[in-house]
Amino acid sequence: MRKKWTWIVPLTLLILMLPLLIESSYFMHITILAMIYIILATSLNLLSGYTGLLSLGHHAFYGIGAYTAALSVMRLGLPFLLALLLSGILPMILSYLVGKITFRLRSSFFAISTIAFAEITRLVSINWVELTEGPMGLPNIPAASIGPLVLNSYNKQYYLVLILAVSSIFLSYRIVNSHIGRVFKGIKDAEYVAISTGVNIDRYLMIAIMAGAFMAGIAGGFYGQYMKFISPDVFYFQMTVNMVVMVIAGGLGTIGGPVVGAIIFTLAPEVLRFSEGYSFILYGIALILIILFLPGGLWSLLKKVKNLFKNSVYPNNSEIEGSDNLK
Amino acid sequence: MTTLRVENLTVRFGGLAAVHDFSFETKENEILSIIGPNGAGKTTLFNAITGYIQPSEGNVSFGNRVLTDEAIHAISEIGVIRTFQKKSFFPHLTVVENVLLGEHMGIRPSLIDFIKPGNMKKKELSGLRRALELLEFVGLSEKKDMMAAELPYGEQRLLGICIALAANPKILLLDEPCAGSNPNECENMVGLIRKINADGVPIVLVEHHMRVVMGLSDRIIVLNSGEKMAEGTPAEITCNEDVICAYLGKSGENDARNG
Repeated sequence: MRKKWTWIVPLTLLILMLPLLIESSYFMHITILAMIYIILATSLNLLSGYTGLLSLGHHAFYGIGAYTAALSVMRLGLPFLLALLLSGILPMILSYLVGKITFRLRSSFFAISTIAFAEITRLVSINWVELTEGPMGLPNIPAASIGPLVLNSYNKQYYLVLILAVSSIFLSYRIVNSHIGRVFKGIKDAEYVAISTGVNIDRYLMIAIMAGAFMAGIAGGFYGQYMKFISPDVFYFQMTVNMVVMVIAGGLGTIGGPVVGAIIFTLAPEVLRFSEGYSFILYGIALILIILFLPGGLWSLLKKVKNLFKNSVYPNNSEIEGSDNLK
Repeated sequence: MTTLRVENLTVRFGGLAAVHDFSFETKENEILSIIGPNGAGKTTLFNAITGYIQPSEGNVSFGNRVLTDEAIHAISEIGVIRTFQKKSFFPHLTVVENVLLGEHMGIRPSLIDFIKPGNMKKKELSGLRRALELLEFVGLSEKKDMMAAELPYGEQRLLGICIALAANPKILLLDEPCAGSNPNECENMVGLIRKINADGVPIVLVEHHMRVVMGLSDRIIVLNSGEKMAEGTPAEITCNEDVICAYLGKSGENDARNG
């Protein structure tokens, strides 16, 4: 049992010391973006990975979070931490309404209705000029300040986003490893049996979408003050596509999958930069290969490698049973 | 006394009445079987009782609770629990997780459990203990860590019943528990149903295996084309001419035509 945790110490050290190891501010920027995507992919995974309802409007929560935090700091003069909290709560309330309307739908019908919701939020952000400045966007968002501490460098921003990412992974880990997570999996597996055991399906879907919207909103709230500028582009559909790719390629319905997916698919375009115009083609090919040969995602590959090591030392149960059958 | 009462139940799909003006009431702690040819409306009847289909007319009640307009999960909450003819379990979860999901109403965390430390764990543990007992009861405790999808067919059926038992049924509706089972598995199932009934759970059974039905039932209702055709003890039903006619065809007519 103890052996399971040995990898965690060097990994924690590596994550904590990352700003010391990375000198280029550009790569620090990429790392911070990867962290934002970790939060987003983790949050989408709660609904789409565990309960199996594919949401293609998840970026709306991110965008609303971004605008909420920016506006409440700039217009209302709220302290950053309170604004960040609001950037989680407002999308959460909206997700409740979205859920109330769309949870009667399933599969592609649900996906389409969530796209419609996200498109509405995008149009509002463009056209409600008094509030959002429309397509001009909101420039000069002040950097986050927590008490006297102003997060004015990449390193400080990194530690803030690290805390947020770790908290969201922890939160979703706690949800998923409780009875609630079991209910999520049950809904995905055989919804009609789950209802017959007394599960109020809508209530559990609501937990998934609200927790996800909260996390995505916080990610948006962080993004605004980090970039110092937001525009209706935060409602760009590509954001959700990225998240879905990360969740599916990383591993649907696992805690580690979206994390691995977010890291790899944020770094991939940078690594593939040498190939210039071909980078998206390579990206696409990699994605197709993963879906074809690793239906469990990259996370299942990591697990397989781990099991390979185990089996070389100890035979596992199935092998022992197999040898019994031979007798 | 809590009995399941179905009054003048009608379910229409378009112009077709799958169940028409059907009434019955269970008696305390009996095994009531509902039989009938394919398409007679047995599964539709179950679906209408447990809320999966909205009946067009009529009433369903359990004790003094009316079930007709309740949501499916609320009906389960009242204690009317069913199994399914199709997969009645969660294939991609382990056997013990399946049973824990069945215990949902007993172990679901409330808001207080999130605040008070230890509460959640206590519920999980007592749930797990009960799950292991139930698996022992149906004879699946050795397979508790297997994926449900990997179980042989007969054991998947047992698991489906185990999940239903975990939900603390006050009455259990079994939809073809022996469908597709071999004679051994069938016999096993009969024993299990008897055991459940002996523990004080009344059972409504839909089944095609006549040996199972005749051996188990205290009372049988024959359903044909959505209407009640006969009702009685197994002995009465086997002698009922209408029933024989529905199942085997009328010999007299054929003779007349041939002659």
